[in-house]
Amino acid sequence: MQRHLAEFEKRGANVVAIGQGTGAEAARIARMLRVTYACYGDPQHDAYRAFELGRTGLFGLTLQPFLSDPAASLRNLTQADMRAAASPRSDVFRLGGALVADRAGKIRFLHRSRSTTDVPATDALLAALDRLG
Amino acid sequence: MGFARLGSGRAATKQGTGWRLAGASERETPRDLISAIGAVFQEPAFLTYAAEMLEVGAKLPKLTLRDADERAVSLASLHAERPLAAIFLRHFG
Repeated sequence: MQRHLAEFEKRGANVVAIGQGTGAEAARIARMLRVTYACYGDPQHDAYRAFELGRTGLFGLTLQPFLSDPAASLRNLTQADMRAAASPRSDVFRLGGALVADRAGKIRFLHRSRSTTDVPATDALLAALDRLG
Repeated sequence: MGFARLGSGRAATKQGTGWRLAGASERETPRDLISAIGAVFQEPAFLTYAAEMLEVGAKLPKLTLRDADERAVSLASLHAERPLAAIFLRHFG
């Protein structure tokens, strides 16, 4: 998302990331990933649960990504935050996702990742913002 | 719900030169087979799901996040002035 941040800002969006762990841990991940938008912590995983983001298993975390999408898997590994992953507040099996909501708080786009390499296309998020008018 | 969405429990059967997963309308690729095998090993994610799944059109739930200084930030405050685009991060893999 960072690479396309200008596109999001052009559409007036407030771009944020939500990470497991404390706010400080989320901020550290943001620095690691070199993202300039705000990152917030979700130490109790309330947001992850509320949006019903899935969880994978040991196979889905290890072998499956390498077999199905080696390039994305290697990219994910290079960006892994081992320290945060080892935190008791971290759930390495929890999958990610993305959403777009309008100013009234209505969800206009929601993607629940089905695997560790399943990342929503930036175009899909931008299109959802475009539909807001 | 989550169980079906994740594709857990689908049986894979050999058909001709390809594999077909039970309930699939088209021949599936080896990648799908790998996913199906992986689903067997997946933890029962549906157990953690709420009774009603949030979908497009629903209102965002009331949630509180933490900023870098551990101050409480409501999710509502993030979309109050501008549309919100949020991604959920993973730490590993």
